Amino acid sequence: MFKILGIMCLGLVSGYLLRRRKMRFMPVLINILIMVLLFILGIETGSNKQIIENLDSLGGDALLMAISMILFSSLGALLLEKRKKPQKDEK
Amino acid sequence: MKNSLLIILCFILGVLLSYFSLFDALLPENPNVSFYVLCALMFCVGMNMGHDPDIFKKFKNIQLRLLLLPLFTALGSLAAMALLSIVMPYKLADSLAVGSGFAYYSLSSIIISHEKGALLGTLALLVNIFRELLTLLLAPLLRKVFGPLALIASGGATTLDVTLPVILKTNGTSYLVPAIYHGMVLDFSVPFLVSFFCSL
Repeated sequence: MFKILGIMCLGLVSGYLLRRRKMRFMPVLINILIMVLLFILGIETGSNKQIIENLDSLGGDALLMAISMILFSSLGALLLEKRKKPQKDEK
Repeated sequence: MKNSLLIILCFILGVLLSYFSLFDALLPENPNVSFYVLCALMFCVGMNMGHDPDIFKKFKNIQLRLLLLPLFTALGSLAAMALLSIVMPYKLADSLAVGSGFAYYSLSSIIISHEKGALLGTLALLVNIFRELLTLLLAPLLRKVFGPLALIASGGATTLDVTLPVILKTNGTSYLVPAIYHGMVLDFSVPFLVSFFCSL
């Protein structure tokens, strides 16, 4: 985790030092890397027998749980978002 | 939406290729490949932001309120699992242990397999992988329906790494610090919460 954060900070500094140069290709490169990463995660998932063999029996339960948690934590986040607005108006 | 569909297509392509063993010959077995790609990705994300002349202004506008976001994410996730344990054939403590993975599937499934056996460990693995994938796939929708904070909440502990680039793309780079903070807090909480609920 700290390795990854350190590498991002390294990127931040290099980006700052190179800020005079145009880097229009960067968002495209980031997009491509995201796709490569997900492709590799896909390969890792597909070759993980534990996942593939249990997808039939546990997949439905797991999907329901994941969707419910995303929904409920999104609702939790929504509470924070809504409370933010009146504060802004007061200022 | 088009972009996140493309991302999921890449994932599905990877699953299919490895499932039918088409990729074994092409890719040597190196478990660290995804880590190296993640490092390259994070370097580029950092570089892209360091390059942005307004980046320091964005850092200043951090709202203290956002400090509470990880707590709301955790409470929301655990509440969902507690409700589900009523209607599903899993015990409350087991459900909460699975839910406290917060999409950090590798660590949570290892702890749960060790403490509670392979079945529950596999469930944790699947649940948390699905949570990560659904966050990536639904990012634009979550932002549209629930707002930018919900997208971060949905990502759980992965807002520090795997889902961070997608969050920044969907929400804008001003959400860098909240997303990293959120991911870090939840990352640290996973081993404690999972072990705690396993011990109940």
